[in-house]
Amino acid sequence: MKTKYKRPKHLNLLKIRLPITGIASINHRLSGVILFLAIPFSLYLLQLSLSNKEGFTQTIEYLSSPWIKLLLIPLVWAFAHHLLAGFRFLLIDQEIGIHLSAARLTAWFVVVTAVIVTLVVAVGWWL
Amino acid sequence: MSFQAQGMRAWLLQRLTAIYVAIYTLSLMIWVSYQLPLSYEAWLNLLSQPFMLIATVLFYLSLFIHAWVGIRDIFVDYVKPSGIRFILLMSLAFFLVVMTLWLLIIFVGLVKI
Repeated sequence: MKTKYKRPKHLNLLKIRLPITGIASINHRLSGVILFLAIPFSLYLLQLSLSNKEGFTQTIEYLSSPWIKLLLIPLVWAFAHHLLAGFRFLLIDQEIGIHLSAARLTAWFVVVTAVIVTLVVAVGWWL
Repeated sequence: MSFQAQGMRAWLLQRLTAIYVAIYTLSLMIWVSYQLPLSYEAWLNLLSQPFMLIATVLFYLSLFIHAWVGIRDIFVDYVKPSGIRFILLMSLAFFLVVMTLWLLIIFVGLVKI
């Protein structure tokens, strides 16, 4: 006789408690999506900056306007996190830091450092 | 790259492109930080040099391959209905092809200078 087990499904995002390694991993995805969305903007700015002197000046003006800077803050975080977490995954591929305690420590390092880098850049921009 | 990137090849491509993209972006950031405030002439000179022009086109091509594998993984993980998944993958491929053409237009213009 088959018993139908009800597995607990906590798909409520507010109820999910991911371990730090899971947070590093899901943030790697999220930051990847943010960076992906930035691709056309980067090409637009590259084209504008190379077009002529006025275009270059306009690019610098865009990048230093307060509203664009506000949009760039998540991009800074995404770049920092994706780079650091990616580097961590490359090390894990090489079997460096694969044990649970080490993996947790490096995950903490990645998550916290990405936030610190973002804060430092943000403070630098507004001071 | 074929439409269905096979597991091992996608895995390897993801890592090789990641390393190149990381080295390129960090090098460019370091270069820019030494040139601040950056002038148009310095920026144009840097990117029109044959070495840097090729390196930059390779950077974007690596980025597009990296994005293809990464976003494809996300679609495969979260979008179960095969019809919608197929449409999303085709849209992604179309988007990346358009980005590649745009990239080539930008750099063909630079070669003429």
